[in-house]
Amino acid sequence: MATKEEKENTGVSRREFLKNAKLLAGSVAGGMAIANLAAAGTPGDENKAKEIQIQGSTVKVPEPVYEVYNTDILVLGGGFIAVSAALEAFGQGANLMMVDKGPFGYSGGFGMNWDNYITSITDGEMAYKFNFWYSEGLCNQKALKAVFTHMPNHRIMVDIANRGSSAFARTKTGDLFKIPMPGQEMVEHGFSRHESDEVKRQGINVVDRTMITNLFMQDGRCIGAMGIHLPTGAFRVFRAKATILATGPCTWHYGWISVSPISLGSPDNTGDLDAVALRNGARITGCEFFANDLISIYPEGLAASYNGGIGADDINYAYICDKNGDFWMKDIPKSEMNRGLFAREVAKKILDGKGSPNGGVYVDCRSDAILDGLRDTYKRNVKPYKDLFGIDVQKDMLEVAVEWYESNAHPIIDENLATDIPGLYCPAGGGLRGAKSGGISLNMSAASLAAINAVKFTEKNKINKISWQPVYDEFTRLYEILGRKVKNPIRPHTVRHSIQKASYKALGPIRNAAGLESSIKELVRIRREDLPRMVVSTKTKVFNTEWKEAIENYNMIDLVESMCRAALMRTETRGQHYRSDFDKRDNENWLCNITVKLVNGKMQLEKDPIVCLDYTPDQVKKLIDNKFRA
Amino acid sequence: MNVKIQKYDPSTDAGPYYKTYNIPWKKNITILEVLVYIHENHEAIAFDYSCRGRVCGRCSMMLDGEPVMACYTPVGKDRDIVLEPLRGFPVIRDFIVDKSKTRDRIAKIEARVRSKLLVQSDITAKMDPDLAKKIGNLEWCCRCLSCIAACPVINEDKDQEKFIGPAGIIAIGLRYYDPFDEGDRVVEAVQNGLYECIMCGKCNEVCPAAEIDHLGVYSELREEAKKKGLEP
Repeated sequence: MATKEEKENTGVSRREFLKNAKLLAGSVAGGMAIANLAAAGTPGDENKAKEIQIQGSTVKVPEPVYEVYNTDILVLGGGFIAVSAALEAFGQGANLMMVDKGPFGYSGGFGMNWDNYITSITDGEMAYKFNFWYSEGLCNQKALKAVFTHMPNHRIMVDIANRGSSAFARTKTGDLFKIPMPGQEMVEHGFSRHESDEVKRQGINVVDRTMITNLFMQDGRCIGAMGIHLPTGAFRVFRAKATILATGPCTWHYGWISVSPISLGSPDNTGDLDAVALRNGARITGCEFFANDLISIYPEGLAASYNGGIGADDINYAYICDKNGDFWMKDIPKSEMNRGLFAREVAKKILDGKGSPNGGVYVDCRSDAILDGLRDTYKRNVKPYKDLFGIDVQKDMLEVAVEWYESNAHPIIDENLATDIPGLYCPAGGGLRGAKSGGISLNMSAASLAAINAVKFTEKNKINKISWQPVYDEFTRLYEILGRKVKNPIRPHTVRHSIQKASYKALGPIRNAAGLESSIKELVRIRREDLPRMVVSTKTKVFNTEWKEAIENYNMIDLVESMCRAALMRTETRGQHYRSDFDKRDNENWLCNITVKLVNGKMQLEKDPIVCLDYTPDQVKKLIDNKFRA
Repeated sequence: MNVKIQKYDPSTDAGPYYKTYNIPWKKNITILEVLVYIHENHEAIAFDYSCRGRVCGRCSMMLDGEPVMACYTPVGKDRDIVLEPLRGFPVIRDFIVDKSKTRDRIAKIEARVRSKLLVQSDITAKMDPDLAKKIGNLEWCCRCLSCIAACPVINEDKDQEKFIGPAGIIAIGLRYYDPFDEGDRVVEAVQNGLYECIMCGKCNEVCPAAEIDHLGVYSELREEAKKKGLEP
């Protein structure tokens, strides 16, 4: 049994579980691995099920059977980053495979076929300086510079056009409608379907509807990954010389309203691989930072849907108002606006008592001029809002709330975009964004650079001997979750809603020590009392959405706890991290990152100095306190 | 309200069967909210969704025999409803179907045909803003495939070989308008069943993207086909 102290920290129940499970799974392991290598997968054989004792209950775990796939480059994920990494590696002639949790092309935020802003680099050096300033000094200067300077200027827009987008927005005279940013340029009307279509057309091998649940580790190195094929329950092992972690953010934790959290994200966005990397020894960082828009929260069924709602963001903000109809943000020049300032302005308005009943503010689309100027993505919802749901935004102000569309919590990377785990690369890597959110140019150039480095690494990553024990351990872990029977069971969605509630109370636009401490306490309780009682009510292996949800909950709770603990530790305000009890930026104490690591099952947080290249910490302090200058 | 749903788990059930649940109605309740309610309060059912804004194409299904996006379809008060998986696609479990075959076919068709890669100056050159808008409207096809589930030609003939279906013709239309595309999209449209379509407009009715004028696209393609002597 774990001591009380251990129990209050992350990972213990699973570590303890694995130790127990190993004893039993080990007995079926020896000598079977080779035979199983060639075995095509059916889920485990029920007739050879072993009974194991875990967490006080007896669980029947079938004999492990698994499929083995072999490749050089393994790309985990199916979004913008994954697709860009895959196309780059494929272009270099690499043998590669992609694994996507959802239906490929339709999964995550990328799978939403909407009018994307396509950001291209027009001057890499300038884009680097701007993103460094925007990160409020926290980004890894070496990595950021490497990312922004390795690609020819304008390549992103040209690539996207060549993959199939043709309808970029035009001015009345037919010129490309460009939104300038320092060192970058944005155009509207990129549609992500063309990106996934390109992957299919190139003939890249995509294994979709397959949820990666763990990395395949060998002597501290990553030699692939493993998980479940959701339509059949088959257990799949992917061996690779280099693995690129390119899955989406963890945003599905932030509250719950009937069908979704307060997030533009997708149910796919449960932060699986960030949590998996953490449990396998990688440090993660950026946990206290997120990215947000303002978005409508009713009707409840469409709450926080970017594509189904009407909202505002740091580019479109003139029509945001408080409860008195004051458009207080409209005079902030676009050159000074960023997402951090945007979120803090909203937070202050709410604290002033001028927000909306549900903790947000309003958008006022009652004038024709505002309605005409709305982004297409919002504008197309005005009519169905009225016709289908009886909400007339031309008559009434619409309540909008701060949502989460991106989390910055990812494994920390170096300037090669390599994580702490040899063989594992992460283009969205922790430390690349600092207190800023992503953006297509950063994501796509990072993906391309990570892919190039991963291809080089394949030549170095040779193993002499392989142990299949991690495969047996993971199979046993997953089938224990499926087969678990306990007194007073709780279904996975109930556990999830408890995590979501704890997250929403602590991690919103206004944070303070009391709220964060109380949610950490609740998360510790959920981990101790609820997770062991979490039972999947239907035992089928065919697209068992509850089983999937239960597995994801283990990932989500690790990430949310990391986020709360990092947010509690950072006793200052920076980016979207707004502490009402420490409402100033504190460069003396907090010009650093916070890393989260598991040490003997305990979550350890540490200050990590910023990685400098062009600017020393003293120069950084001066630079970020001023407006950005080219 | 009473909700009758079709359930099917091929690993345990001989075939699909129906089950009815009673759930409380609320104002503006969507089909997706109905499913989540049943899943959380009655028993586990398998369904798929993502965006809640009719752009990811994942939650299309049949409501009283008509295709809808579960996320964006409210149910009126005191209405009893029947929900089934999207017609015409292999069921994996309950409401989860496999749309990959049709989607892959559309993806292939939508590939731009062009001898040389575009360069920056091709993209920054002027383009008629109305043309950009016309293409942009077709971009909103999310491939939910509701149009295919609703299409009487495909469903009565049970034959997608002759007619690729509305979403496929829209993909061809997108490239037909695309000034960067060099393929003969009119021939392709005819080859893929442009004249099999009976112009009933059912696809336009069920399509979640109001921007797409299906019959307008078919008519334009037919006019061009006529000029080229391709009319059957």
